[in-house]
Amino acid sequence: MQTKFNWIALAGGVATLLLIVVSLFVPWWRFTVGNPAIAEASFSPVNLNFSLLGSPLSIPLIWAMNVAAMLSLATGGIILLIYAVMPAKPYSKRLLGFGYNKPLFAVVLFVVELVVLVVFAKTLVGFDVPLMGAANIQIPQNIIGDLSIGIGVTSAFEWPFYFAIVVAVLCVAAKLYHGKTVPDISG
Amino acid sequence: MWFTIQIVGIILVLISVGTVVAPVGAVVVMYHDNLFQLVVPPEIEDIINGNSTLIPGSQPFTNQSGPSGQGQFLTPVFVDAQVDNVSRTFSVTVDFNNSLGFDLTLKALSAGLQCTQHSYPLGTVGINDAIEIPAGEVTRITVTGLWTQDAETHFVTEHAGATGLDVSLVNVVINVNEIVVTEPGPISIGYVPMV
Repeated sequence: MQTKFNWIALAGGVATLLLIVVSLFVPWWRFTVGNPAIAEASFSPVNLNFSLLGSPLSIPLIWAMNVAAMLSLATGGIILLIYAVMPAKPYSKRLLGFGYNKPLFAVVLFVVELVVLVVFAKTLVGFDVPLMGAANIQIPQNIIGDLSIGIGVTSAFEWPFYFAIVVAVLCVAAKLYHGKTVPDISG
Repeated sequence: MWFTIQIVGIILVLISVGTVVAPVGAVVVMYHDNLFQLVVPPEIEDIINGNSTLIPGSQPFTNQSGPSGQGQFLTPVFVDAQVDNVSRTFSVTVDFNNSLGFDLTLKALSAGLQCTQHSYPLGTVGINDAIEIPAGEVTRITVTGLWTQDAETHFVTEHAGATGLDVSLVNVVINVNEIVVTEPGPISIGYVPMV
C-alpha cells in the first residue's frame, strides 16, 4: 500500500496550530511575586501577561514579538499541513524545511530568553530569579538603604511548555520521516 | 519544475520576513515619538519617576545609594500603647494605611521593644494570626507582647519615680504577601505610661 501522506507531518501541523491556541490561554512559564501575588508574569512565545498590584501592564515590543511568533508558528503549521498532504511534490522539501523547525525554534528561543532573563537579573540587579521553584530575592542595600527587603517568588513551567517540546519532536520526526515517505510514494 | 521550486522558495522567504517585520515594524512606527515606551510601560515609567498611581507615595528611583522608591504604605503609624502591670503584658496599636488599590495580607509582624534612653531591651511584640488589609483602607492592628522581669527591674532602678518611659521599636519585621521588610530601627514610639 502506498503512503499518500506524511502522517507525522500532519500530526505535527495540527499539533502546532493547537499549541498556538493553547499558548494564548495557558502560559509556558509563570513567575509570581509574593503570596498572595502582588506581581505576576505569565509567559509564552505568543503571549505575555504581566500584572503589577492587580493592574495589567503591556509592553508594546513584547506584544509585537508575540504576534510575530504566533504568525511564524501559524504559517509553519499550515505549511507543514500542506506538505503533509503532498509530500512528493518537487517543492515539498522546501515546504517541510520551512514548517518543521518553527516549534523547535520557539522552544529553543523561549528557553534561551528565560536563561538570559535569569542571568541579567543576577548580574544587573543582583536578583536570584529561579527558573523553577520558590526562592527569596533580597533587594540590594544600595537600592533600599538600611532596610532589608526579602521577596518571596515562585516560578514554574506549565504543561504547554512540555506540550511544545512534544510538538517540536513531532515536527523533527516528520522531517526524518520524509526520507521514508517519498520513496514509498514514488515506488 | 525548477521555476516552481524557486517561486515557492521566494514566497516562503517573504512569509518568514513578513511575519516578523510586519508586527515589529508596526509598533516601532506607532511609538516612533517615544521609543522608551516601546519597552517600558507607562505604569513602570511612573514608578521610576515617583508619580505612580499604582504605588502612591513612591519616591523617584535614583542611582545614588540610600532609600529610594519605597512606598509609604510600608510604614506603620503608631496610635497607642497600653501596659498591664499585673499581667506584665502590653499592647501597641498601629494603623496600616493600605494606599494601594490592592488587598494586602499582613502575615507576620514582630519587633523588639527597648528603652529609648538606655537602649535596654524590654520585651517583644508581635501578632499571632495573619490580618487582611483591604485596598485603600486603614486597618488598625494591635500587637501584644510580654514585659520581662528584667524590664521591670530596669524601670524601677533606672527610671525611679517616673510614670512611664520612652520606648523604641527595634528589629521590626513585617511580612506582607511574603514580602519581608526588616527595619533594624530604632523607631521611637514615644512615651509609654507604666503606672
